[in-house]
Amino acid sequence: MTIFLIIAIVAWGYVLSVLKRGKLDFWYFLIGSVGSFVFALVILVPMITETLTNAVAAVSGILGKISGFYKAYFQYGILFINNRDYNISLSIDYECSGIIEILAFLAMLWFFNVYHFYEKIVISMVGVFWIFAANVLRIFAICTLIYFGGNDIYYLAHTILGRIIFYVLSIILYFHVFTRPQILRQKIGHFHYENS
Amino acid sequence: MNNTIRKLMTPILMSMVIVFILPINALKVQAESNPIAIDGYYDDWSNLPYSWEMNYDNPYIIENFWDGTSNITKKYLDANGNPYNIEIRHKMSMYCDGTNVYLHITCCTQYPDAFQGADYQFFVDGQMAAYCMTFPGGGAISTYSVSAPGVYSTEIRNRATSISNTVVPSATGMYTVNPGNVNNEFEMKIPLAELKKQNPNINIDHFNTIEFFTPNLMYRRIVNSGVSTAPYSGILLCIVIVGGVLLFMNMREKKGSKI
Repeated sequence: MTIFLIIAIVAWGYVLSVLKRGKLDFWYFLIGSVGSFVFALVILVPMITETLTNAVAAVSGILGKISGFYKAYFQYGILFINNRDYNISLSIDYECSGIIEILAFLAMLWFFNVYHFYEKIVISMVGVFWIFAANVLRIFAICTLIYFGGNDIYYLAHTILGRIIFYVLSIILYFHVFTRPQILRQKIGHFHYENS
Repeated sequence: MNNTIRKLMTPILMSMVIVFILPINALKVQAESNPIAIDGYYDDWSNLPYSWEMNYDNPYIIENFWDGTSNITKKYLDANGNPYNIEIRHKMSMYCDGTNVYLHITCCTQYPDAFQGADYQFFVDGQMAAYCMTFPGGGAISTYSVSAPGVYSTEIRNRATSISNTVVPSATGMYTVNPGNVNNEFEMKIPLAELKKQNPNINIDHFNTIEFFTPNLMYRRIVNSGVSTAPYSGILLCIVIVGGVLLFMNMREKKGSKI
């Protein structure tokens, strides 16, 4: 697996260099972001998922503690909603942690040919924080609804409302990072310094 | 020449993107590490969620409770200040690590001779698999059948299907009898694959909710749910909407420049 991975990364790097030299910007963006996303999934996810799930559970747990709606067992990535009539554990796992969304965002950002290197660093930090916060807000909304409505409302809370909150916040982020600068560039064109 | 290369590159690169994307669906990472050992020591449950259960909704506040000297308002609260405690309700925990489902029950103090908690029902997205716990060889577990305090190894058996009463090979359980049968405890582990063997309608690869119920010890179910963001569809949605806006702007600009 490791050898296959190294070969794949080398091949990917070579393809990227060809695309760069050929000035195929769209394909450079597509192959670059998809490739880096997949390699990050394979290499980074096993290393950081547990930390991220625990962090999401811990931060969500602060909101749970303030509101009194649920308790976090962040060592295991579990949120426990226990009221008079219901006792429901919510497991924050790989797919709930936001890790996939974070990696996808970063992969696209770093192959998006609009920002400078330092801008990308700042936007990466803001973007990761935004996605993390959006996920915490989503989980808080789900837990709050379940606290008041019980397991009967789980589907509505999780599948519909929780995802709407997360998707809307994600779209706002994507719009401001990817779409808006493109539109601005189309409207006002490129700036060039005379001596550059 | 340059255009021909560009035209040829498109299908080649598109195929490469597909080849890159395909392994994503096969990638599955288990985030939760397994904290539970089925060994008759129950301290590993102390950091997991628990709830207080009884086979009817008994009150935790008793008005005019005679404490031996006067009438008081008696409240049964646990160490964390939550309603109920081990005096009047069973303490239960369920944990699922994605491979196995674990269960721990400490029986309440109030009814030491009435333990009938050997039947277990698990519901995966509403699909049931039922089990019972017995001593090795099939001897029934109840407070009447065991009197000597100690830690006993147990078997988990299928119930309520054509394979009823067969031993679940990779499931394990431990049962602790305390002096006077007060606060007897047990823990068990059943692989999710065994749930599917009993009920093929159970989908253990993608499920949202697993619930536990034991009819003689509780009136409501314990629920464990996931809260997936549906990440791939979310990312796709973002790209489609944001890309769509960009495409719309492009088309509008082109249309404008023609005029």
